[in-house]
Amino acid sequence: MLTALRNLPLSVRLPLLGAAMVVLVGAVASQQVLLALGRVQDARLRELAALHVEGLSVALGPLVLRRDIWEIYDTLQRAAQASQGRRVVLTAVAGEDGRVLAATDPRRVPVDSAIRQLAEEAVPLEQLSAGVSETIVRVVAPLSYQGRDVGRIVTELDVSDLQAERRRALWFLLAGNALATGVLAGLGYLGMRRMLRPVSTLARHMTGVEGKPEPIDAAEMPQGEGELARLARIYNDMVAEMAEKSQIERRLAERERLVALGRLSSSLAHEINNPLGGLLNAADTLRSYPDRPGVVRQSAELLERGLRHLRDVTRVTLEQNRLERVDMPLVAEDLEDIRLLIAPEMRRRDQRLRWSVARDALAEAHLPAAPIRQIMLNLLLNASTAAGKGGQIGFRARAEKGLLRLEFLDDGPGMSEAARVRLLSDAALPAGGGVGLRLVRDLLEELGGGVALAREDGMTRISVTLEAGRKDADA
Amino acid sequence: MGVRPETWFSRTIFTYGHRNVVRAVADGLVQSGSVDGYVWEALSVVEPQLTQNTRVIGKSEWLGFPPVCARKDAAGDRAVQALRAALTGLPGSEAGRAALAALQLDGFGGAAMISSTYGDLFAGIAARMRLLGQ
Repeated sequence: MLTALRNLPLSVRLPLLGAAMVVLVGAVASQQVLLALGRVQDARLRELAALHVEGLSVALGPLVLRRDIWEIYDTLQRAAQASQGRRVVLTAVAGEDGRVLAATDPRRVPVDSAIRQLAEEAVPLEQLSAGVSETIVRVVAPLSYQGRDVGRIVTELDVSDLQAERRRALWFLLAGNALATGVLAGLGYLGMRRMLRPVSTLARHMTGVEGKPEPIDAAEMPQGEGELARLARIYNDMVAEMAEKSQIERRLAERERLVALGRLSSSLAHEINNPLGGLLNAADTLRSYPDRPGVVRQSAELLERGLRHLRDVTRVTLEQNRLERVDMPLVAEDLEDIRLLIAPEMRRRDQRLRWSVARDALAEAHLPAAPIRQIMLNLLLNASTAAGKGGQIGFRARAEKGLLRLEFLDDGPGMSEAARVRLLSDAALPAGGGVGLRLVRDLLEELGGGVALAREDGMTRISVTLEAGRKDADA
Repeated sequence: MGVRPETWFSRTIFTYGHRNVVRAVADGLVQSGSVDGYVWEALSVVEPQLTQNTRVIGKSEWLGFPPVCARKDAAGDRAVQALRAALTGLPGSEAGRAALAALQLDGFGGAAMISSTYGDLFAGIAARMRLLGQ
């Protein structure tokens, strides 16, 4: 029950709490009114009983002393007839010996019977109360005459009207309070809901339509300068800042991609430039010896090889930058393309590459080609930078328990702290660090992949694991 | 009988009036009471709700109604004679008959007339007074 309450939204819980408070206050107020009514009734009843007893004491004193039974009886009868509202049901008077002298109903309380039987269930005047279950209460009082007790008076009072009044008051209070608390609680509920509407609006916008925070529209913004209005404004500012930040991150990722591309293109320029000298030589030879078929064929073959190489290099470069690739699945050719792409960079640094792709590595993997190509390119370029001149680089791809595992190795000095932060955490970007490592992390997050860093036998190893077919449905 | 009221009854009380005796018995304050038969009969007509709660358990012999008396030496006074004439003459007028009806009496008569018609009505009372005197 409590847990269920705790799970209710604040905009329901607070109004409910308010309503409950009103009901509680109503109940306490009713209780107080009933108590006060009871006190007033009891005081009235005691006053009445005291007047009755005192009046009888004055009238009966001498008669009791004289033991004049008839006069006592006659006086009691007259007093009973005059009794207001027939409240006095029975009065019995006893002398000092505790024997009844007379009672208004002699058949019930015969003359000379012991008053004790009657007095046993009676209460003294000061304890008299109408708040009992019986409709008739019995009170006993001493009969005082000229300063001394000459006997006792027992009186039965009918309090059913007082009890009925109490019940009536109780019902009126219950009905009135139920109505009043109902109305107040309802108004309070509505009022609080209205006051808390900005909170509901805020909560709704915080989760948004797709689970992302959305700014609150101007129409729904709370008015005035209250804390809720300020809260909403601060929230909107925060959402705007978050949007700006993610835009900056996107731009940064794009820049990192371009940096990688820039480096590649300079390598590619070398790659194209290097064979150009040979190709131009071949063209010169063709022009010089057009009549020597052996030389022409040889030069033509040389030209063709060089041009084919240039075509391949151009093709993979174009491929890498074609946006349509996003929807294409990863195939073995993609891995070969990357190998071709980084080859010039590595040759430039005089590095050796150990390339190992298991035959069935991609058999089960239904993964998008573009992001994985980007990841491979960035990590291999990074390994190349780390390994330095004449270093060693390794790449391994294999399937492992439904996962595609890609490993990138280099014999460089190990990753700097800045590079580590970029690759392994979402913390703010420190200055410096590896090439496009944060982009690798972002891409892996989108793919739902994992990354681990290890150092063994003088080699740095970055392991990327991708759940095979995870993106298949989306692709 | 050799029995006295003070020992025969557990308690005896005075009510200072014949009507009060009937009330005391009717209300249950006492179990029994002795009352003038004329008063009980008159009440049974005027206040039947009082007498209907009582039961007559014993009657005395007929005794004379309390007489209207005057001193012998003043018997010839005009005022006494006028009162006598008025009482004996009650049945002769409308107002007199209404007064007699209210008292539930037939009429008043002279001592000589009463004795010659009903005999000695007060002999029984005289006998009781003699008993008390012993």
